[in-house]
Amino acid sequence: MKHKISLLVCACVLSAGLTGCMKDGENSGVTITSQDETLAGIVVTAGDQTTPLYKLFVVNEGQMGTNNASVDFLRFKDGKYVLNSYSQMNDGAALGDVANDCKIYLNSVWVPVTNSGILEVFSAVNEIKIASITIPSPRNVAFYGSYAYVTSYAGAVYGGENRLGALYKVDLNNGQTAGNIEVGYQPEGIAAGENGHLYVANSGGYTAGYDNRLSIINATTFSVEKDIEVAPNLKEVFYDYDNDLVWVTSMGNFNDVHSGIYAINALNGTLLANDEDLAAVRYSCATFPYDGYLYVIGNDNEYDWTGEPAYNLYKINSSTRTVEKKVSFSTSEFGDNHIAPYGICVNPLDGTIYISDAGDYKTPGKVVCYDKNLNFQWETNTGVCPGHMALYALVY
Amino acid sequence: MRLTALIAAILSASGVYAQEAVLRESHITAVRSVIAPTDTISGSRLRSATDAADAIRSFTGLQVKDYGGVGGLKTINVRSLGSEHVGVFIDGIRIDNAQNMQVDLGRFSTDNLSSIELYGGQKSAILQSAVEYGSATAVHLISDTPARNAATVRVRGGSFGTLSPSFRIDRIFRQHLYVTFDAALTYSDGRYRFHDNYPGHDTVMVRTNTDIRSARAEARMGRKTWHLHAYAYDSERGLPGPVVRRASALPLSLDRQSDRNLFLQGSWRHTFTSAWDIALKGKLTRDYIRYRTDPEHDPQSMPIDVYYRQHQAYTSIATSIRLTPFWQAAIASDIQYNTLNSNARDFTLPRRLTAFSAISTSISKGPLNASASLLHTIAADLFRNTSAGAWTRTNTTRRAFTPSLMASYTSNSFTINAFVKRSYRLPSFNDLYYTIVGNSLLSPEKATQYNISARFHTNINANTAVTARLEAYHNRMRDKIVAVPTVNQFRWSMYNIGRADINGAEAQFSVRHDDTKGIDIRYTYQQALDHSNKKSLTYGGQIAYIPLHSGSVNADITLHGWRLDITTVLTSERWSNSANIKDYRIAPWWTLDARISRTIGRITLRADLKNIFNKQYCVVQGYPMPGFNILGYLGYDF
Repeated sequence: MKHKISLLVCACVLSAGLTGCMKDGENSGVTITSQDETLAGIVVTAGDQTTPLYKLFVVNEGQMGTNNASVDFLRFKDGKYVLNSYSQMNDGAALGDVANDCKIYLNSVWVPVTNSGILEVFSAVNEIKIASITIPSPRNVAFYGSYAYVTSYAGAVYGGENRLGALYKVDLNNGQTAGNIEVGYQPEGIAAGENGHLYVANSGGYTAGYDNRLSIINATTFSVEKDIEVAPNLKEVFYDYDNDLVWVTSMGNFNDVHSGIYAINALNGTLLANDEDLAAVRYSCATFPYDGYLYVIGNDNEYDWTGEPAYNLYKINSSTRTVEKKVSFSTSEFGDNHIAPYGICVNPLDGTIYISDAGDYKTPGKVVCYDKNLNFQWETNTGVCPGHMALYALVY
Repeated sequence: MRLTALIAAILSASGVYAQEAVLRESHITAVRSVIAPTDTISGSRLRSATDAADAIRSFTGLQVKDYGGVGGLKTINVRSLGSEHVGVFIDGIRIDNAQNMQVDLGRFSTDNLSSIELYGGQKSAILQSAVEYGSATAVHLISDTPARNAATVRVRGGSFGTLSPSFRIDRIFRQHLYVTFDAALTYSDGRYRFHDNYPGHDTVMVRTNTDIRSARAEARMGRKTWHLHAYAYDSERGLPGPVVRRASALPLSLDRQSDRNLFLQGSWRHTFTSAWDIALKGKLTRDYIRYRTDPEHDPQSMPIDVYYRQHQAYTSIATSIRLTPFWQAAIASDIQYNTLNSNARDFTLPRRLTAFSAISTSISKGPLNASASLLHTIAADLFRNTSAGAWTRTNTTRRAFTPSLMASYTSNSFTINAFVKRSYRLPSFNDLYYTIVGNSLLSPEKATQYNISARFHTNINANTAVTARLEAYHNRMRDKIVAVPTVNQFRWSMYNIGRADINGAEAQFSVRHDDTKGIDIRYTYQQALDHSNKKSLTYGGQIAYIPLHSGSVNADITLHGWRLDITTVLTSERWSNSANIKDYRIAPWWTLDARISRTIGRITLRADLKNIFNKQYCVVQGYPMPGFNILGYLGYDF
């Protein structure tokens, strides 16, 4: 394991993630062959030989208690969608119970499997397992320097029914945990900034009144520098390098505070005021593909549970912090697709939008693909509760 | 006694005579049942079962939802209507659980029972409480009545580190007044090995955090016309949780559960004239359950230490009048009050007052029997609105009329019976008021049953009797309460959106020769289709955990004082979700159990060999069942 991870680190010193890698790979095409090409798949779209992207990974959370988290992928060069690839490539081993994130680091995929207490690392090329790192209740992962940082519900400090969460760090050179610190209650999303800071969204989802703090952590000293109060029940964090902004989403308190999205000035750590349109954005899932835009899906009827959901897709300009486009799922622009969006991923190269539909959260869901003008392209069945997607381009 | 019980069971098929025989052993408060139980177990076969759930698992149309092991929850689902629709009664008084409507039959010992009867519809004695008309299907646990002064000490033990000593004292006083006292202690570490059958991990693992300690004490007294029953149960157990992949440095579960259950119940029955009967029943219940995690040693768990305390008071009055020699009518009225308290955050402290009123009539002329009943249920809740902090009763009154019709024709050896019944399941406190998840606007679940059965019984010769039963039914489930995600996966709520249609058939064939040989063969076919949402993958799928085919064989033989009982239970493939795809498929399974017993003077010896072929299977996905295990029993009568 040590050896494999070291190799990966040696393979590429670029750490800016997808953007950096794709700039190098422009119009080169992908010629690699992988053992997973023998797996059966469904051709969902025409093969694309020119894209530098190799795969779209889809991580299915599974249903809690049933050990059925799984990994699917779309291979761009032949347009094939392969179900349950992790298990198939690892002699039928189960990924575990409740997969909560999917991040790509160089040529490896990192999946925190919450209810298994495992941060699973496997090859992005062929899904073969690289490492299983023990971290109790891991939630989300980000990379900075030579470490992976993982949020966890399981802090060592608790009392009554409250328990602080933790941030673990994992040494990328040996795959070992290298300490942890306390953060807020039930931390979820995490993002690394270019200024040596990590940003952790504390949800307080299991704590009375919810947490509302974004914890700013100094990666060098590995300590919390500052907490900023944002909104109740924080969820995802995105860092915009071009505009030095930290975007954080909130799920609201399910009562009188709606979900939404907020921006923080990364240079001075202040919460920026939302204009009227931005304040009206509802959030259930979001992505920031580093093309200058945030793509957010939210439900206007989020607290009207007896009524029909009213989902919208928002396209938010990160530099001006304005909503450039709001499209309702019920309009003809989205076709007749009646879905329960659970995750979104956007290809920054051509604007293709992938939306995962969790259905009833207990039976297999779907991935639905639209072009940048929201024309329906294709859809296919996934595993149970598809929630996390990541685009992967090979790093040489 | 042994024979009487069995014959009683068989004869009850053909009418009223058998009731007398049963009465000698037990104190059913009502006689003149127009319908025989769908299935029944009594005698030594009953007493040697490890618990009430184990005793009835070979019944037709019934699934025991068994989470495995000594302390694992065991609820029953009859004819695919769901465990909430099964009324479980002890001596005609319902065991109620307003919190979640589930009764754990694994808690009830069979040591003090004379029989367990399953009714596909309802028990239709003319003089019964209104609640007895209420549930879609019913399981009646019928206590035995001591006939002489006696005392017994017993000890059970064996696999899973189980040791359970118990004793019982029976005393008979003047005018047939009986007093009986029974107490038992159980300790078990509950550990067993199982094959971790998740793909790629065919390793042998040990089920841990399965230990249980329990104490039970019961006292009963009464005469022919009245009975009192006091019951106390206390237990502390580990909850092993589902088997999922878990980092080896982290435990699977260290969650604990404590229970304390107390009840006092009584019944009284009086015949004013030969045509006028009255019956009174009452019950007080206090149930306490505490659930806690251990985050210090199990970092995967969130800190939880929560208790729920339920109180229930119940009373019933029923009276029946014989209007003409063949025509009877009855009225019953029950009132029940339930409360649920807890230290859980934002708890709504629900209270519920329920009134059940039933009228029924039956006509019995020659071979023809017919009865009709109409039950009115009204339930009014009061709960604390957690955001406003005020008590409210807005939209909390639920009422319904649920009728039933039944007719039968009996010749010497042949009975045909048909019934139609509507029933109604109130939303539980959890459905309505569970913090965040609950939806106080729920309406009750409705079930309609159409049933036809034929029974045949004949004595081939003086020593050999043959019984056969065929039964077919169609059940419609509407407004089934289902948990669905709302805004996102973090927020689930309850809705009346489930619909199911169930077609079933059951066949049973029994041969009995004296008391020395017998065989029962049972087969059940159940097509239970999910018809909730046309657009869903689950539409038209077989409902979770219901096998299309299941069956059982029970056989016994006695030779030179040794008795051998063999039980096999077979279940076809099932799905853990009504999306019937391979990810949810649960493999078919079968088990074979054997029991050897002998009574030598005052000593009774027994060895129970369960799952002899060490089959690895699970009833509930993620909860493996034990492989081969053995339990011994030694009883001594003073």
